[in-house]
Amino acid sequence: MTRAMVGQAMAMGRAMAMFRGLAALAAALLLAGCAGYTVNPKLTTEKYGVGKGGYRYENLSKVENTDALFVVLAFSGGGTRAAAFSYGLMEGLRDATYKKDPAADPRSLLADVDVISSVSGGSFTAAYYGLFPDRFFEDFEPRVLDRDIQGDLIGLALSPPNWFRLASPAFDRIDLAAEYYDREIFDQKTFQALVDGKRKPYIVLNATDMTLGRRFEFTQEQFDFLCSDLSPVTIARAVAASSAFPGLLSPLTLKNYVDVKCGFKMPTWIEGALKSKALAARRYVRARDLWTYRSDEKRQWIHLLDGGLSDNIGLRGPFVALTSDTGSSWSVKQRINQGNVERVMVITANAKTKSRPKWDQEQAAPGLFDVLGFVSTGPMDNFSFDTVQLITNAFEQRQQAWKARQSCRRMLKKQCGGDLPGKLAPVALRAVEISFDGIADHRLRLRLCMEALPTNFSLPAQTVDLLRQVARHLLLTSPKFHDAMNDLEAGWEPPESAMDPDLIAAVCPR
Amino acid sequence: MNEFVIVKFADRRVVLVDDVPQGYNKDESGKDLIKELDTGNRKFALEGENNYTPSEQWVEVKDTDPIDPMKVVFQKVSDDGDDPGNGGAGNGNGPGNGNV
Repeated sequence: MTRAMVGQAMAMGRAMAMFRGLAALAAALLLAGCAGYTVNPKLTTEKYGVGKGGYRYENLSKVENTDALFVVLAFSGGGTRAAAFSYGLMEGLRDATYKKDPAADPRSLLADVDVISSVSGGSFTAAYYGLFPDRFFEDFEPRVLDRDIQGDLIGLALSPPNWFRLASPAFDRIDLAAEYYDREIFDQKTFQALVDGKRKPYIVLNATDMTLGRRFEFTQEQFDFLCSDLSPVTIARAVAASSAFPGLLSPLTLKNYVDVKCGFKMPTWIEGALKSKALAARRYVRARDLWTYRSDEKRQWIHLLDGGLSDNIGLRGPFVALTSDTGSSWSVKQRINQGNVERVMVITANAKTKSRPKWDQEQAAPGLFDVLGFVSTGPMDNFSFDTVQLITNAFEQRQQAWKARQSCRRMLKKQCGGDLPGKLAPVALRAVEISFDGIADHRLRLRLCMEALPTNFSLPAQTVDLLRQVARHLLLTSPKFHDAMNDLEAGWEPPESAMDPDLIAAVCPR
Repeated sequence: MNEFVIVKFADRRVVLVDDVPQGYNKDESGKDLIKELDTGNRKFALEGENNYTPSEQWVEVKDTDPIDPMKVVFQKVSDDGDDPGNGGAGNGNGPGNGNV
C-alpha cells in the first residue's frame, strides 16, 4: 500500500467517522423531534354519545357477580410494599370461601368483588388483576413484585438515546415510565381491553389533579368532562399517573378538549349542587371542581401527579360512591335505593408505615430533609385516618337510623297497632381495614419491621413474600372480617393463615 | 348528610332524582319505599309516561327524619287531561305542603 493510498484511506476513515457522528446526531435529533406520548384522543359522539359507552360501571356484566353483595376494595400507596400488601389481601380473599346455603358450592369472596379503587403502588395490583384475572396469581409476583422497577427506570433515564427524548418538551420522565410499564408489565393493553372484558371488578385508578389538589380517576365518567375518549389510553399511563411521586417522576399530562363540542351536558346534580353551597358544602365543592374542566377557565392541559397526594388509601372515591346518590357511576347509595344491594363490604389494604423520628430527643430543630419528609406524608396520614372514620361513621349512622325505625315501629304496633310511613331497606354494612397497626402486640418485632419498610419500587423477594403473608394473615384473622363473613355464612371459619417464622426471622432479624 | 324521602304517586313508578333513577316509589304491595338522598336542591320526576303533574319539581332536601321522611308528591293527570290537584313537598310532621 502506498503512502498516498494510506493517506486516502485515513481521510476516508475520518470522513466515515464524521459521517457516522453526524448520522448519530441526526438520529438523536430526529428521536428528540419525534419524542412524544400519544395524546388522549377526543371523544366522538358518533362513537359513544356522552354518558353511555366506554369504561363505566354500568357497562360491566352482572351475571356472575350481582350487586346484592357489594364488595369494594381500596389499595393504598407505598410503592412495591403497597403492591405486595394488596396482593396478599387478594390471596386472602381468594382463599376466603363461603357457602350461600349448605347445599351450594363454596364461593370465593374474590369472585364477589365489584370495585377496586387504588392509588400509587396499589394501582399496579388493581390494574393487573383487572386486565389479567386468570393469570394474576401465576405471574403478578414475578412480573411486578420481584422486578427492580426502580433500577430499570433509573437505567432508562441514564441511557443516552433517552437523553435526547427527554430533552423534548413533549416527553418527560413519566412518559418513559409509562412506556416501560406498557412494554414490560401491561402488554400494551388499553382501557378498551377492560371495556371489552365487561368483567367486574370495576378498576378505578386514581391520580391527583395538580391544580385542584383533588382526586382524578381514570374512568370514562371522568374523561367525559375532558370530552376525551379513555378507551385508547394505555393502562400503563393511568398507573404511571397514579404513581407519579413528585420529584422522582414528572407529572403526567392529559389534553382537555375545552373548545370541542362532544355532546357533553352538565349533569343535573351539578346544576343543583352549584346552587346550594350553604346547604351542602361538600357536594358543592365536588361539583365546582368537576365543572372547572368544562368552564370558562380554559384548562387545556390537565397535569396529574401521584394519587397518594390527594388520597393515600384509595378511599375517597368509594366514600363518595357509598355516601352519595349521584356523582359516581357506581353509587352504592343509588343501588340501595334501587333495591339491588343487600350487603356492603369495604376492605382497605393500607400499607402505611410509621416513622419514629429522633427529633423529639434533640433540642436542635429537625433539618430540611426531616421537614420535607414530614410535610409529604404526615398530613396525608391524618387525612387517610379521617377517611376511614368517615366511612365507618356513615355506616353507623345508617344502621342507627334503621334501628330507630325498627324500635319505633315495634312501639307503634304495641301501642296503637299502627305503622311508620315508608319502608327503609335493611342493608348490612361492614368496613374492614388491614394495616400494620393490626399486627398483634406479641409480634411487636414484626410490626416495627413492617412499619420501617421503605417506599420504593424495588424490594427483596423475601420481603415481598412476608408482606403477602402478613396481609393475608391480617385479613383472615380480622374480627371485623369474621363478622362480615358470618353475615354470609353462619359459623364461618377462616382458612389457615399462619406466617412462616423463618421468613420473619430472615426479613426482620433481631 | 343522609336524607330520607318518600315520593308519593298513585302508580308504581321509578323515581328520578337529578335525572338519575333511584328505584321504585313503592314496592309491589304498595308500601312506599324510602329513598336515601344527599342534602341539597334536588330535581324530582318520574320515569315513563308523562301523566303526572308537576312534570318535575326542584325541592330543597334537608333536615329529614328516618321515622317520618319528607314527602314529595306527584298527582296523576286523568286521561281527559284534568289536573286533580297540585303536587309538592314537605315533612310529614312539619308545615310543609305535602298533599299525602
